[in-house]
Amino acid sequence: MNEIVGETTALDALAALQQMAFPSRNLEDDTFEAVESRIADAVTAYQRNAVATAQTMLETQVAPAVTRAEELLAALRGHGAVTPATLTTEVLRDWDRADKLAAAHAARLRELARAAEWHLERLGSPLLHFTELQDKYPALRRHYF
Amino acid sequence: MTRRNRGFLDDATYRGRTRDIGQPYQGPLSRQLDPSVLAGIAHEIDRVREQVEGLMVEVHRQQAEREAVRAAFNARLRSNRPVGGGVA
Repeated sequence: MNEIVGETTALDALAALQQMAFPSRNLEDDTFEAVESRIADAVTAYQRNAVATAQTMLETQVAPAVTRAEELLAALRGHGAVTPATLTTEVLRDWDRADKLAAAHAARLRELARAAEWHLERLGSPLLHFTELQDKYPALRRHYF
Repeated sequence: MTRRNRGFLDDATYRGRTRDIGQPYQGPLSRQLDPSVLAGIAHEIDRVREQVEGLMVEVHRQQAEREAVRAAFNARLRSNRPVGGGVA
């Protein structure tokens, strides 16, 4: 069977598996069990890595960014009331600086949210994402038979 | 934000041995990730989006307030000075 299938992606291996004819039900059961187990193990390992990567991102990037956002928000709200009588060019500069910081940080947070969404998506659909990776990097393809 | 834990096979057409098609698949590929992992990430995404919204709402609120102060300031300058002045 190796000669027929060779190194494949997980989904191609499953497609090939369903096309095969088996001389006995036992051999069919054993082959399905073996191939599916190999693929499940590979996908589980991929998913475990993906979870670790996602959690690292949450801890090292998202959590500090959320803390920073809370600080910026507190700073924005903490600006004392300004009246026309107390308005100075210094105050105007402070306003502009705070606005720019807040807007830049909001953009950074949006990026992080998009990245976290991507992690969530691949964790929820690991077989397809694993196969996409094998499509992209042939070195990751395996003999599943 | 909610996310369905789809398991390994959800988006794939593969459903196991031909003779089992039509029955729920229960082989090795029926594994699923611990749902709390996905829920944890989804919760963090919600938190990030809330921060974005909070920041932007506050920025807009303050900009509106400042515009009013700036306008009053410029009006005061105009009334005190016959020509020029004001804050851009």
